[in-house]
Amino acid sequence: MTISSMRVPIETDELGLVEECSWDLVPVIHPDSTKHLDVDGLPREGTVLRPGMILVGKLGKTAAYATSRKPTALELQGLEFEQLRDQFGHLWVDRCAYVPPGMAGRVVGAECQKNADGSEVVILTVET
Amino acid sequence: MFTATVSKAAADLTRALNAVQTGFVDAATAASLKATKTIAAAETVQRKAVTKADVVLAKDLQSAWGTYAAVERSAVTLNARERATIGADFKKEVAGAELAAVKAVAPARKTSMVATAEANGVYHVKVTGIIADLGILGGEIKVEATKAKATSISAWLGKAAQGLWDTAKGVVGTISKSYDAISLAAHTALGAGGAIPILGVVPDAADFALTAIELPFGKSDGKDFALATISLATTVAPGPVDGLAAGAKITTRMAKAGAKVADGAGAARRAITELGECGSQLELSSALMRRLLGAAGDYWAFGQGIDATKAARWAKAEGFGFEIGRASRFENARNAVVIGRDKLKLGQVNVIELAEEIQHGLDKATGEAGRFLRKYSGSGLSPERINELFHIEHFRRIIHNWEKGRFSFLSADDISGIRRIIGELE
Repeated sequence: MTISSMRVPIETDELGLVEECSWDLVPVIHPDSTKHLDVDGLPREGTVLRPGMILVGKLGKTAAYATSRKPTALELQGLEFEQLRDQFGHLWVDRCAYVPPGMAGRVVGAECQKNADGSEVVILTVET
Repeated sequence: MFTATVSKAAADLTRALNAVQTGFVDAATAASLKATKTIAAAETVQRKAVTKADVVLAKDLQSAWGTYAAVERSAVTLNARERATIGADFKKEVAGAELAAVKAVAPARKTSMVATAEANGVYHVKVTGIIADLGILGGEIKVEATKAKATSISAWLGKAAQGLWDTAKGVVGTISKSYDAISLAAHTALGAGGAIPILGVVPDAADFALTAIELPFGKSDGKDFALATISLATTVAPGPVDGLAAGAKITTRMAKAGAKVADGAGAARRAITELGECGSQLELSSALMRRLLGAAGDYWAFGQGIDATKAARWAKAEGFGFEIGRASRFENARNAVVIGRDKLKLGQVNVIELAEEIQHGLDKATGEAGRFLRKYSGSGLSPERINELFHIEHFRRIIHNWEKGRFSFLSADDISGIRRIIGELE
């Protein structure tokens, strides 16, 4: 059993805005894929990680975001995920960190820390 | 002797015993009385002490309640002030954004309006009731006073191109005044009557007189007057000549009225065109405001807040999960009420927002949102308007459910807030 630490930086998007960290990545990623993430997009303690899983849930805004409209509350409620993704997916881009191939383990800790320059980084402790 | 002595002694003894007994009883009674008095005194002291303690306790309680009431009052005041500030800030923000948006298009709009005015023979447009601060939509845009035409606000509001009046050539009056129609009919009738040989002198004279009266008011001109004079003079001429004069008179008036009608129609068309532009602009700013309202989705000016943990309990009571996400909705994939992170205020969830998302969950079975979207897709309405129309229905369902006893976390004030939201959306 090995305890390893991973660092996932929170970066800026095309608009120069800080990436949004959340489990809620609609309309880019289906909510079924983010059930193991908490409100800040970090994996919950005890989550068993497998290759391809989202490690940290993050979205960035695209350049189109400034000129196109966001879905209304009704569209968000009434459209299927696929329809939402087709119509509004281009406004955001998937910036999630994924579990790399060949890696598996169990999350024993996840926290967001602030660097000296003000930027943020997610520190993950994984038992492999 | 002895017996007597004994009897006496016995009597003395009895007396003595009685005396002792009586004294003892008296003493005992006295002691008992004293003890009773002592007990009474002690009780009095105790009662006094208890009373005093009660008074102290009551005072302490009063003080404590006073402090509690003050704290509660302070909290309520703070909350109310905060809500008022939020509402005011939001309204200010919306108004500011709207003003900025209109100001941004104002110079271009002014240039466009002046250019249009010049191209259409020079107008000045009088629009009232719109913010004078914008420098364009307030007051009048004076282009050329001598050839000015005014377009009333009613025309701008697109109800009808009425109330247009022409100040060109010094003529003042509405284009489609009823008098013009009466005048034309009268002149036509009198002109036709004037074609009758001999007797036609009467209508001809009347027509001549009417023309002369109208001359200073601009309702008849020099040509009309000349033709009326000729028509009167030719009454005695042979029938065809008189008829010709009458025909010329009527034709001239008809042509003039036709030109005026055409001119009026042209002015109306131009006014309506400009109105369309102005209307689009107003609609744009209205849509902008709606988008801002929609984007903010801020119900804090209408309803109170509760802790997220309580909100989660209410959601759970309906059989749903509760999550904080990026955008408020009911998430079917998780069967959970989702409240947007940016919609929280000091960690609290707005009850109207909570009710809205729970209602989405309740409507999941019938798929109300999807049904509404399908119903209005291709209707030509903007997504924002469809969203508003849906939420009018949606909020009414919430009120209906509240009246049936559901959503008990909503107070009468919150319901009143929902009714105001419906009013805003309508």
